[in-house]
Amino acid sequence: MYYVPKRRVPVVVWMDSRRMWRGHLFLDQRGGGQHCQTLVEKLNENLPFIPLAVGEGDTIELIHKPFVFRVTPGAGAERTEMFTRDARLSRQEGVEVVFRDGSTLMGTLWMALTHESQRVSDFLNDQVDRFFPLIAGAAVHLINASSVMRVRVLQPSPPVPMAPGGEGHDPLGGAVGS
Amino acid sequence: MTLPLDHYVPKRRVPVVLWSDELKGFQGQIFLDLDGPGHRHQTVIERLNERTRFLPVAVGEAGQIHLVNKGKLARVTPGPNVISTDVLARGFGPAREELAEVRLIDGAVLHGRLWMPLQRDTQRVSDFLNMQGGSFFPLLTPTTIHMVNASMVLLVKLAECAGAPLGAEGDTHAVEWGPPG
Repeated sequence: MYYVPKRRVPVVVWMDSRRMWRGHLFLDQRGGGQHCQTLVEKLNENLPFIPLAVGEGDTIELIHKPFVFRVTPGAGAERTEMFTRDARLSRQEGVEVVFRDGSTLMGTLWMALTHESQRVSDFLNDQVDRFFPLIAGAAVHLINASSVMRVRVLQPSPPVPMAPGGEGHDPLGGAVGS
Repeated sequence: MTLPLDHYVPKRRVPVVLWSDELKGFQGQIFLDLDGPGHRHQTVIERLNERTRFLPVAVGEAGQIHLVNKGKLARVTPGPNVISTDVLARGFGPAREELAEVRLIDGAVLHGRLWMPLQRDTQRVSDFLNMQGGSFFPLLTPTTIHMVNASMVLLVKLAECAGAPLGAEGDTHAVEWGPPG
């Protein structure tokens, strides 16, 4: 029997603003100098059902991703397990996200820039059926773009970080884009 | 003058019940081909998994035709007196049944045995479901066979667990292993 080595990351999966499941997602352990798979990469795999280990007995529940609103890494999840920030250019925007059920979430949207003049709308229009990170205080939420009804930009866009490596202010305290 | 003959595809009617957010136990009859592939009659699940988006359903004593958008259905159950071989042809290929609790987007929670044909011995339920797209799959319960629209499934709870095999030295901390689901 061939097993793919995995590591478990605690998460809370929100199917709307009230229903949520706590459990562990399984991330690929990559070798050969590759970075370990992140939650955003796992969620953005082209597979609609994702296994979640729940409860003390580790029962497996297969979550249908199109119906997920957001995934929040749980206590103990490492920052590097959430998403990579290896983009050369990046920017953060303060936004309010309004979900399909009317619930809202405010935070900082971190986006890797494909071009310097990229707007939030350009970024979101590239996220069809994908998850993107929203940083709210000390928490990171991975938002399913297809569950979003609208996004309100709360402040004017800051200047694009032009320094090599795209360094900028990181709301979580680390170097962005490094 | 000779009139062209109409071409009729021979069909038979099978009663079904349709379930969705809007249709709660909607009763009608669907039409199954009598000359299906493989020289046998078409089954209900084969009919549901045809590529056509709209399903003709005869409703009421007059048999008024309703065209139902299959993509919006959560599940379909056979009506009374429908035999299981009209619903699902299991054939002789390798297959497996897994106990599962299926929670649908319309709020229904079904417990039963998920029947899946195997493409390989190690196929997991997640592999099977991830291949389904918008197809219907059978869930067998003691009273009926539910044909569940995979795209309307919220989550599937499996009876099995994510047990990690021990390392060679019995080291449980060596590595976590992929889930069986």
